Amino acid sequence: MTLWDVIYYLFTKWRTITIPTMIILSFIIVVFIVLTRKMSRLEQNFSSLFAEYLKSIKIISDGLGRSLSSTNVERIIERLERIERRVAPLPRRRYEVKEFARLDELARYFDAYSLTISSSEGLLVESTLKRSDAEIDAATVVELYEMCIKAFNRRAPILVLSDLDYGMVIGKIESLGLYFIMRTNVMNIYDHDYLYSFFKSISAYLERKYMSLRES
Amino acid sequence: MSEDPTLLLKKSLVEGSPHINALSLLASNGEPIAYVPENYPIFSEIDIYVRILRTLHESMPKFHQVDITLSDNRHIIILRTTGNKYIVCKTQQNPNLGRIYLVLRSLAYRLGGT
Repeated sequence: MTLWDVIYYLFTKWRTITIPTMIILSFIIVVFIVLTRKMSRLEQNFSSLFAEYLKSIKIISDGLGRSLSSTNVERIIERLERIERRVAPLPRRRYEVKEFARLDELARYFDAYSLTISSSEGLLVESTLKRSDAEIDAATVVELYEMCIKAFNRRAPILVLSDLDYGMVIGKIESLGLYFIMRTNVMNIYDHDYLYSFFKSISAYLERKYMSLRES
Repeated sequence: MSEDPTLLLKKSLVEGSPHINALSLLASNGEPIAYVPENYPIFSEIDIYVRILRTLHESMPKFHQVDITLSDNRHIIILRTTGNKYIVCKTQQNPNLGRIYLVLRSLAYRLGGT
């Protein structure tokens, strides 16, 4: 039923209607139309202001329909930033290529649960794990890495594996013939910058520590 | 010019720290050429090493490296160098063997010319 249907009904069918009632009803209708138009303009203003002031912010609409002074805009920006901080996932930490003096420092920086270095015979070189676990990792990594490389039929300095709980990064430093195995948060293995920085850092650490043995 | 064997052993002891307790370089007849640390009682063990070497020579004349695990999980590793001398390494309990082998092979290479 449209507005005109209502008016037609009032004028033709509702014969008991009085003149003052008609006037009041007409006034209400006019006010309604004017307000609707006004609201539409306000909404347009609101949108353009948002576009102008909040270009870099992902806006979550909060249904505001008021005309905006600059103070209001600042308040809205603050409010939206608060919402964004609450809703958006925590930003990932940036991992950089760094030099480390100790393996446990490197493991801590890269939020590793464990990090083990193995010789090409699968013997333990160094680890952040307790001995019995470290020896198992050292023996496993060589076999696992070579098996994966054979399956892929191509060389790769680094391979990532995961289950639902943690990610595992295994690899080989070709210049030293040393293998490494790191367990870390499963999210880290999807982060290219993390993997790149980790590989560069562990390569630098191992080369600095063991290249003198290898060169001779 | 070759480096002093004692200096090379000292360097390797540092590189293998803390897993290596003592290193010695023996001639083919078992006579000690150099050893570290200098206060290490090598002469009390020399008779054992000579007997091991003699047995190995008789049973496996081409042996290159032997790793003996003691009951307390220390290891005695004997490695033949290219100059037909022997490096004898005594480790701590439960050593990182991968690291020790890297150090010993490097030492054997450096000693090859001595």
